[in-house]
Amino acid sequence: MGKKILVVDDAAFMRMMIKNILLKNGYEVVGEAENGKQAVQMYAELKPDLVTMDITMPEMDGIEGVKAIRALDPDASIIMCSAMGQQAMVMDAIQAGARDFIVKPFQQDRILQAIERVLSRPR
Amino acid sequence: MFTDEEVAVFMEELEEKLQVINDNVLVLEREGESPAVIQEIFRAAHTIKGSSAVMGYEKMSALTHEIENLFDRLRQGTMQVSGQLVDTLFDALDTLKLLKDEITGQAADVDVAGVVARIRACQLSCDAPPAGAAGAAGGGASPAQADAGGAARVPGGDELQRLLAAGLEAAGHAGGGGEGASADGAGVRERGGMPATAGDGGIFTGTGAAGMAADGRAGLSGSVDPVRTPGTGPDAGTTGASAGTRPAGEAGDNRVTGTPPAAEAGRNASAPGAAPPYRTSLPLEEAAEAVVREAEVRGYQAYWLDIGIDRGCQMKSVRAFLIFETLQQIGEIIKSAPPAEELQEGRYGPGFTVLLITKEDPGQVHDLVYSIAEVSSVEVRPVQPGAAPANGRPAAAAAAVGGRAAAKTAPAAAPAANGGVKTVRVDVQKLDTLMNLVGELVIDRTRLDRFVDIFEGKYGSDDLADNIVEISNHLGQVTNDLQEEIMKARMLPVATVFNRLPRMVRDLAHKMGKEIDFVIEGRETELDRNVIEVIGDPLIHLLRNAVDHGIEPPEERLRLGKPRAGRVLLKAAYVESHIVITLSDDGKGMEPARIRQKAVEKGLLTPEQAARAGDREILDLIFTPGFSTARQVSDISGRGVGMDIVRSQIEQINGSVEFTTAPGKGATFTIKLPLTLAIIRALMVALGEQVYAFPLANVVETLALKTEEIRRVRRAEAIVVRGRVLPLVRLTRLFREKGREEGRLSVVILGSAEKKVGVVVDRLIGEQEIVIKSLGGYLGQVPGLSGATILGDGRVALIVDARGIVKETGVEETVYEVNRAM
Repeated sequence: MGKKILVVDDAAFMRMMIKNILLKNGYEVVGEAENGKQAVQMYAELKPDLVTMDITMPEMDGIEGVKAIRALDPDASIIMCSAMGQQAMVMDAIQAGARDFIVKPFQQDRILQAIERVLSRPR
Repeated sequence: MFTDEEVAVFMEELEEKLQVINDNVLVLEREGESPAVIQEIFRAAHTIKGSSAVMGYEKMSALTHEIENLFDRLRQGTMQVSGQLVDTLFDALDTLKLLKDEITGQAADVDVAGVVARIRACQLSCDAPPAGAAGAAGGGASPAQADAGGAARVPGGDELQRLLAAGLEAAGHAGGGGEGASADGAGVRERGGMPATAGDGGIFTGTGAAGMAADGRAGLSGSVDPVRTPGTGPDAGTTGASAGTRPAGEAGDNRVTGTPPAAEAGRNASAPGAAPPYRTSLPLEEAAEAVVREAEVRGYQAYWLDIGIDRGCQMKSVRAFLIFETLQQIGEIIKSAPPAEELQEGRYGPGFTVLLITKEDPGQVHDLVYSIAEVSSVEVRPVQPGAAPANGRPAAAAAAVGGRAAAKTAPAAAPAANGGVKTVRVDVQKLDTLMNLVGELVIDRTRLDRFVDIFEGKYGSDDLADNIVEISNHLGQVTNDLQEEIMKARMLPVATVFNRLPRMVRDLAHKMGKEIDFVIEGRETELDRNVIEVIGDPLIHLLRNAVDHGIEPPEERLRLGKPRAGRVLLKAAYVESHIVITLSDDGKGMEPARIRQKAVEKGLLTPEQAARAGDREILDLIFTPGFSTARQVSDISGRGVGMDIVRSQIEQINGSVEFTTAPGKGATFTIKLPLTLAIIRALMVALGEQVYAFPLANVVETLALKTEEIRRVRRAEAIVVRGRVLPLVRLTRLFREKGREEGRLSVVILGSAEKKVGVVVDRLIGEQEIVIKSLGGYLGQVPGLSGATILGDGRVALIVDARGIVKETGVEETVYEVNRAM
């Protein structure tokens, strides 16, 4: 069974791109959330091994999402999916507990490397 | 490279987001700026930027990036919405639509440079503080501004030129503030509420100060606390952010005075001249050595870490920050090369070196660093400092880690209302198939009903029979529900059409020099997809007429005692099993006298006919092909192809259009549409054994008739209904069926547009709802038939193409036709 991943992005297209990359590489996408709020709920329900989290989202943005998820599970592995120009927000997210980040537009091997490495991280 | 599905989702989402931008820009223009609206546009632009970049549509992502930047500044309040800005946004929106067409091959070589330049020019000229201050605040902004400068020469404007020059000059003075600051800054602005350029200053002012402390001898003297560069980074960042809420100029000063001395101090202290090359052990100056010694005493080990970073790394500054943060979890970073502030600005080559004190063993340190993406290599080398431990305060590592997180200020991203409806995109064809299958199910259910009746008759009411009745009833209920749900799934809100209109009305009004207050009500009203697709054109036409011919110019309206802005109301609502769309304006309305005159001029009526006709009949002439009353033909409407086409388009989908008007008060058009095209109400008639269905929308009335009442006009049959002559068609002849020709006949009067015709049938059965099925490919178009349906008993009923029959054989029932026939 592949590792369980929750994909969070408000853009359906982005979710699908990430999902397809993950599915092709043996991961299991257990859920997709459109905003931070949904992500927190789904995290509690699905207990994924890893979350990919967009930053700019309605309802609750990615940084608040990271905070809320880390409050639920201090060991949560979250990778931020940021866009160019969001440096400061990525830093905020890292301080909130995000484990790593990728920059959109991302290449397949970059996202895979980030996920593999975060999942391999000694706890 | 991308699957069809991926491309489809991209295109749909693109369409959706463009609409969001369109709607919100209109709101922006009408109601001024509000945080929710700006946030919506910002997010939509952001989404397009990301998706189009993945797809490789660079022009699109570049343009949306500019829009995003612009709205970011609006969000920060460092510039205001102006008329020029709104116009530029509409330009940008049009360009985005062109870029979308370019993807589908409907456009080519779309140029974005012009509109990008205008957006940038807007940013400069709309600046709340003078552009010069923004330029001075951060040298990093110079590339963007230089670009804008080059492009802005096209639109010109002395003031703009002056501001640009000031900005560039200032940027030149500040110089070398870091690479790609326009991108870096965008992020920083998010949290602090400061302009981009000052933002850079804000965060790195803090870091710079920390860096000075780290590398300079003076600040250290045994205390470990200031050495935790990244640890202090956030705090300093927050300070910077709060500074940023002050006017831009001030924040700028902050940076200009703060950073350079800090950086200088750092260099002087550690390694004079250039930054030490990667993978070189630094000389440990006294202070750092003291810290390492002290740490050793307390059971820590010090390591040099040589960390290599992938060449393709996209956010080097954040990458370094993440590595620092991650290492901070297992220890303390004493120093680094290049210095921390340079690392955090992304100014490093293929890698960097840090000095870490930790209790972990080298293997664990290696694994931890290597668990970070884009780290290409890690080398861990133990440090052997001199023997004697220096006295000083202990390193309070844990406490510092704990205190750090709380200081962050949350970005104030007020979530704008956004209905959380969960949706799945389904091909309409699948819904059609489903609908068909349910149709089949309905038929089988009806047959089961009959079977149940037989069963009951045969076995009476024993348990078995009761069970079957119960099953049949339940099946019936479920089938009905299923049918209803699928019907609902095919429905779309009229908003999909209505949302395109405000922009069009705005452009029209601008062009015609009119002021329009355009109000839309009932956007959420749902209609079948097929109906939605057809309704757009007629609506646009009616709307153009209203703006072009209906609403008077503002001055004239004032003279007439009306408000300057004309009011146009578009409203959709459910009325019984129909949707009624009304479009009303408070313009000049229509004058029967003028139409009468025009009709005579155009030879549509003789003067006598015109004189005799009532006002209503005269008004309805606007639906006659080739009729236009516009005194001046504009390029907007009034080409004379108008209303007849509007009407025929609406009737094609079984709808009807009517209007009322009062001279000087305006006009109201009422369009009545069926909720769906898949199911219609029909009048069922029999012809021999065969059942036919007439769409009820075209049935005017039914009559019983004796054969002797049929008259002959030349070689055709006709009947007189309330003094009007109508041609008579026999369905038996049309379809070469055998039927009764004698005695009392049943006649169905069909109407479409202004034409009417009587159709003779054997027997009327009654009204019912039928599910339309096509005749299928192998039959194709059969003259006189528009489809078929399956009846409850499994027989096929044919649907009569009522409009076709009326068009071919009907006569116009307007006065003059009647007069001619008499």
